[in-house]
Amino acid sequence: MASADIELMAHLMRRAGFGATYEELEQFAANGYDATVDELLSPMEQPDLEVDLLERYFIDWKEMNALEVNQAYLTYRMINTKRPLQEKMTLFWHGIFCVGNSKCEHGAQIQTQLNMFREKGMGSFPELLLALSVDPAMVFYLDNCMSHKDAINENFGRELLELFAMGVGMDGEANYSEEDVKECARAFTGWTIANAIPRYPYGRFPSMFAFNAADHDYGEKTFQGETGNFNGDDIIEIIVKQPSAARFIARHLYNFFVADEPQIPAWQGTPPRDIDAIKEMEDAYFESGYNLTAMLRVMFKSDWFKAARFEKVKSPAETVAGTMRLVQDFTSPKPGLHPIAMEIRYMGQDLMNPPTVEGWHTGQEWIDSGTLVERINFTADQMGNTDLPGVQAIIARLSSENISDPATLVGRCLDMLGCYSLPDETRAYLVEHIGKSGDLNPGTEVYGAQVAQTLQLIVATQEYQFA
Amino acid sequence: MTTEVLGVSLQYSHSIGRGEFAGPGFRNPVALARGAEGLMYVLNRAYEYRPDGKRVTICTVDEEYIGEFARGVNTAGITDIVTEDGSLIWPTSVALDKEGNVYVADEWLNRISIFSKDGEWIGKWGTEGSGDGEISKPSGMVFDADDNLIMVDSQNNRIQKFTKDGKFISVFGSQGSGDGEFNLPWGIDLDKEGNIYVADWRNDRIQKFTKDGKFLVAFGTSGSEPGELNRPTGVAVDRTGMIYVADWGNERMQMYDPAGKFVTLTTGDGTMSKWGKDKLDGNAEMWELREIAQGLEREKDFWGPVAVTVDDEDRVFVVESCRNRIQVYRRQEPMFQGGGRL
Amino acid sequence: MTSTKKDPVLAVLQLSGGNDALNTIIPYSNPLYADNRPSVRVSEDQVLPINDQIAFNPAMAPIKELYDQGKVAIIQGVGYPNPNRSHFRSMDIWHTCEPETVGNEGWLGRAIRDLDPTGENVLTGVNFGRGLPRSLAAPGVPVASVGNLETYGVLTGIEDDQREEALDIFSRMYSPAMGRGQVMDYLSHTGMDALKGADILSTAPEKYSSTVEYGGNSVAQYMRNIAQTHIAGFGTRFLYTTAPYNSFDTHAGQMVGHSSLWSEVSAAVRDFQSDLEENDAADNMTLLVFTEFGRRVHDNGSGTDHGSGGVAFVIGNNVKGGLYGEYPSLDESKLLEGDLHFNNDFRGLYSTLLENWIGIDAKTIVGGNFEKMDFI
Repeated sequence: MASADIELMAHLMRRAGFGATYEELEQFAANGYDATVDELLSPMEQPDLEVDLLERYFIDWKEMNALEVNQAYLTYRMINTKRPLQEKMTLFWHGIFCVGNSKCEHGAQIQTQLNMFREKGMGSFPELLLALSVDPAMVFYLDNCMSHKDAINENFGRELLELFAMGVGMDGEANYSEEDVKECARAFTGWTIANAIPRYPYGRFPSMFAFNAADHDYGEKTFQGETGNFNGDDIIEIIVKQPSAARFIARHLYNFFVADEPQIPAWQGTPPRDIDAIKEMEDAYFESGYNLTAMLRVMFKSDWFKAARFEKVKSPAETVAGTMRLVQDFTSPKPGLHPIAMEIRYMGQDLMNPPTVEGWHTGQEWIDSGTLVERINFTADQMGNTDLPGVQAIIARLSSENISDPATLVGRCLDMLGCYSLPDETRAYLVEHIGKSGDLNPGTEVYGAQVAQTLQLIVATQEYQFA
Repeated sequence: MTTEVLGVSLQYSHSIGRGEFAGPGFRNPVALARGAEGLMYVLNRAYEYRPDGKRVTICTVDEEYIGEFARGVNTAGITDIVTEDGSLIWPTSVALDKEGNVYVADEWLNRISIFSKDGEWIGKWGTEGSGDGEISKPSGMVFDADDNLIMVDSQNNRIQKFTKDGKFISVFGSQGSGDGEFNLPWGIDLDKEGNIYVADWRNDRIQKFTKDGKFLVAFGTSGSEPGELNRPTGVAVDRTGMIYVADWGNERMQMYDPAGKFVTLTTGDGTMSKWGKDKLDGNAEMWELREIAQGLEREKDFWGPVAVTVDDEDRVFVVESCRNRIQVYRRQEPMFQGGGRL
Repeated sequence: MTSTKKDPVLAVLQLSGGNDALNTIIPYSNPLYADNRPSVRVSEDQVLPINDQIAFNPAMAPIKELYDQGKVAIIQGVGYPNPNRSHFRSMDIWHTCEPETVGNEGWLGRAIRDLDPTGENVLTGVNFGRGLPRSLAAPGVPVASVGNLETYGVLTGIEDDQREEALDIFSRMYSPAMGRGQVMDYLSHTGMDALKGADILSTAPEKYSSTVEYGGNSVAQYMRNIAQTHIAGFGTRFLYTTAPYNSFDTHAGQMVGHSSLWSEVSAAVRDFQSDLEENDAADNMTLLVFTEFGRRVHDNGSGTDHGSGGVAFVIGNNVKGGLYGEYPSLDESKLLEGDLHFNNDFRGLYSTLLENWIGIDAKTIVGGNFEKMDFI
């Protein structure tokens, strides 16, 4: 049995990262929980990936010309980053501040946006919102480039309030009026992008944000009860002061990191699962001057976070990246990454191409009969591959622990995968199955196959679909 | 743009290429070899999910499309990938022997594939490993005056010489940053005396050796100032001894004199290619969109200048992996200080 | 052949990448065709004429045969307003019927929900290929996505001699249990659905026999899988497959590439039809063949780039064969930014299939009333 420390560390690394091998968990546990949280919260103190090397072997990664190329890159990052929380926060913002490949000037622009999330996603919320408002992929995706002072397009103005920063309502009340939407959109008129160079014959060029003063509505606006000649940055300043903004981020963080919540359209009328937890994060938001790391610190160090074990259905990205981290494959550049990245799509999360601006619905909505088959087969195929270093390491470890009794074997396999637990009945099925497969003789080839098959059956359980 | 330094000037000539997975055009080209009578063999690495774009394009300096050969491998299900003769996974370089046969290195397969000048597969060699004659991630290749193949054995951080059918002749170099040591070297070329120039990629420098592998000189340090290098990928030496370096990380091509002294640099002068014009004629409104495009001057700039080649007519070819283009320059008035001669 | 009382079924073959309409149904006698296609043109002596103006591509002889039997409706100039030349966006529009906003529900997903609101039959919709096309996606609608019918199932990576027992454990693990919470219940239910769907589907190949020999390419193999599933009679109403990813994206080397693609597709379609007829399963099947957009009128010297104004085909025994809609004009003044101008909204095509064939109301599925055609 794994110790309580390691179980807690497995929980933390699944949520704040993409999981970890048992050896890594032991190392983190030895460093202590709070120290590990602090390290996760300071990603820039860890080295980045070796980009020059990656672009040498994946020569297309310098260009980022196609969705599938970008997905392979993002998958590689999730598997290999030494800054797991930074990457997780990038995924977090990508699921909220959605832009999609189906509507973008070119795919590399989404990569540029994700880099912006890596840089600003754990800092100041108003700075992040401002960067988002001048991000060319967003300006294009939500048509702000089509919003003119004499003919506003409300798309960005509305989503900024509804889906990016405030939410329709909270505690049963609306957070903003239709008038606010219009005034917000007016304030962002003239925030546009330069005319692009056509993609033929030499491919795309980076999009450029442009402020077109001639097309900006300099008139007086009233927004959230304040009146002035607001520009977009003034609107952001007003937004971030609102209790609704604090509630909005707190609830998103809770849903992403702590426990599955109802989906966002229900938030106006459905109270948070744990209002006290939300309030603690809201307080941190205001006390820190709208700082996201402050909210994350409160969250990861709280008892409610620590207690929320297996309260979330894993996303496809977590499933694939987490599996690859466990089996320790693709730790350096090699061919065959594209099919791995595609698994995330097959499981229902086409990264950088979310279904709509609302992003992916999470929690149990990740699962349907098609995506469940994809998820189980992928994870089981990986765990069953005894050529992979991570699988070999598990087999070697259980051999060295000289585990020869089926019940203990099942228990240790559950530990190796991140300290999962199973209902007694399910556990009994697995023990019985292993028992029938013959004697367990550590160190033999048959033993390796028995361990691998135990891992395969564990990843096929309902329980393993949770993080 | 014309840059004049020390009497040597680099005159932009024209651009070749456009982005295509097949036919007239390139997809992530990484290397170029000049053949007889204006022929060029351009090696396209493309990317994993479009293995159809991996190929060698045959065309001319005047941008006449001749044909293409070799194909990528579908890597879905990597454990059972079928690497038929002549197929490519991670192609790195191309070189021509005296008969005009085409040698293509693949750094994943650790395999040299040989094709006739028309693209017919005629052979292969290569064994993975670190012993004499074994290779690990071959990158740049060049034939010497004896028609032996000198290869950058990048992962082994050394240079090996082979007969053209793959028999080991000699080796020099080891891992490190001192004289004669390498850190993942990439491109290679010879001057007319047979001296060897290597783009010592991760050491941000060019090293020069005698034909026997004796270290002569190194130049370049990390940085982005003129003369400094950021992950140089390709190197070429013309008949007067001038050295051209694809300064990949700095998105430019630099020119050095035979002593390794910086002469000039260019960040690109790209213009509309013949194939590019055909492409736009098929998408006529793009001509109009170009009229209103902002920042169109960016089209001149190199993006991913990964390889550089010179020919006997003093033409310099810069291969851009991200723009699917080759910019052609011509060295004018080949007079320089410091001992050069014609 | 006797008519059957089986429910009508729709199969969809998606030609991904943007099929070049001009070189599919070719306006061979129009001088503007030759003018615009200096390099990518099928010569007049090779085409398979439909009339004195238009003709099939020579690689489409098998479809021409079906056309001559009156089983093929050619939907000309099909598209939607403000055409989008992005593969992703244009395919999304065809999948969701939402040209204005980015939508997430597919038209067939909605249709499946209409036909089977409680998800009683987990095989009402089946896709062949990895990953679900958005056309079949709708929240709560189960759709099986089958990469390979011969091996489809749960835990396929477990060795044969162990797999039966592994599946037995799986079904015991996923059996509903009390007091485990709503999400766990949902997972149990979904896991059992998946197992059930796989169990049923796995019987299709063994129920099937045919003298028709399909080609070895993936379009042919997936069309064969569609025939097998249809013939097996699982109550599947929508069967779907996508041609190999983006293969119709003929930017270069089009003359050879496009011809070989159509050779494969045409043979697969003909074999599919023969197979169904041999198995007495053709009368309740209609096949739609579509692509996300047509290509540029003017070639680029070697291929053609993304355009608009495509061509679609509806094929089957119940189809009134012939030409539908007008062939878009090649006259420069009638082009839309150098593209063929659509004159048939694809949502009218969908509405015809949903209402006149499947027999369900199309308005909410395609998002409005669109002019139907009388091909079925």
